[in-house]
Amino acid sequence: MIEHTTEIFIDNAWDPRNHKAILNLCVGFGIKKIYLYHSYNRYEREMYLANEDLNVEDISDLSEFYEQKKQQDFKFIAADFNESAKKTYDFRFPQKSIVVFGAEKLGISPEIKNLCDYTIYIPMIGLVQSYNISVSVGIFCYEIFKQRNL
Amino acid sequence: MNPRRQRLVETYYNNKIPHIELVVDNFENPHDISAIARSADGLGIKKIHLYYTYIPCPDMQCVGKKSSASANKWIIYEQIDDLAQFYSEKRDYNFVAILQQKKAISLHEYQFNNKTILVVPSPEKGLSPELKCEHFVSLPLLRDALYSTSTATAVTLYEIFSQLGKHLTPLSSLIPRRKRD
Repeated sequence: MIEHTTEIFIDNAWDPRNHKAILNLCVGFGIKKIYLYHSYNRYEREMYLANEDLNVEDISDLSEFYEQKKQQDFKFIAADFNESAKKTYDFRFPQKSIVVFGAEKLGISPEIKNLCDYTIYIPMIGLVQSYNISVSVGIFCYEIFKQRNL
Repeated sequence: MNPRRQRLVETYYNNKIPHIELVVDNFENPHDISAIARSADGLGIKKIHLYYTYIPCPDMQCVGKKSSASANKWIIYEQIDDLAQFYSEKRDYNFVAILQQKKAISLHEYQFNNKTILVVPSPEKGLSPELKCEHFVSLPLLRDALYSTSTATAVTLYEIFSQLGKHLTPLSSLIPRRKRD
């Protein structure tokens, strides 16, 4: 069986309730690693420390982190929308993927958007044009789970 | 209302997955319902039924504008006054509850029916015993973890969407915005 790895990258999300929900989802779906990148927002770090199964890392040097992950053959996937974006269920998630989620109001920072290999979106047919961040983490984790277990 | 917006709203109500409805059971915090409404709006749900027995039913037009990102303006809320009557009206529907228990089927293995009512149990007290359901589905979690009702509902609705609603297209592509001069 092919070894799959999924990691989560959180860009500047500040709400502790969202962080808590993301943490629980990652534990549930068996994701082992979360990266936190906070360039302009503050956040609560304590609750991540309480959990032993999860490896949480802060990113201070973005370019160094990117080089390191590229050498390990990871692909960066932005949970965002643009003209060439694909839907979650039309996209085959690569073996090693890092899914990037943006902040609550402002979305993914431009410097990270430039680094991403793919842009993937969750289809929306409503008048509200965004999902809550913990909901989108849940849907991505579920879709990745589904693709890897069928 | 300008013509574009009128068309947008009309198309919005026709561009839904038909016959999929939600029932929320005694939610003490109305903002939990509006969090569900926000995801339900995006995934093609039109109607949410409110089932309240021991606490007063909240007025969803007045609360949760911010927590639903103004989706509660578009979702239709209906209170269930008489449960027996509701069951007889929805007789040909399949009642499915999101619940982790022994009989629960993992979400990705369950084939949703064209006519489904999804029952969301109360986050505080669990499912009311009088709400009878034919099937139970649960998130395919590898290990025990806490998750919010809004996330669980959203993931379930996403599964329903990927089974029944793939043909639906986003509104913005149906009615493109006119270029500004």
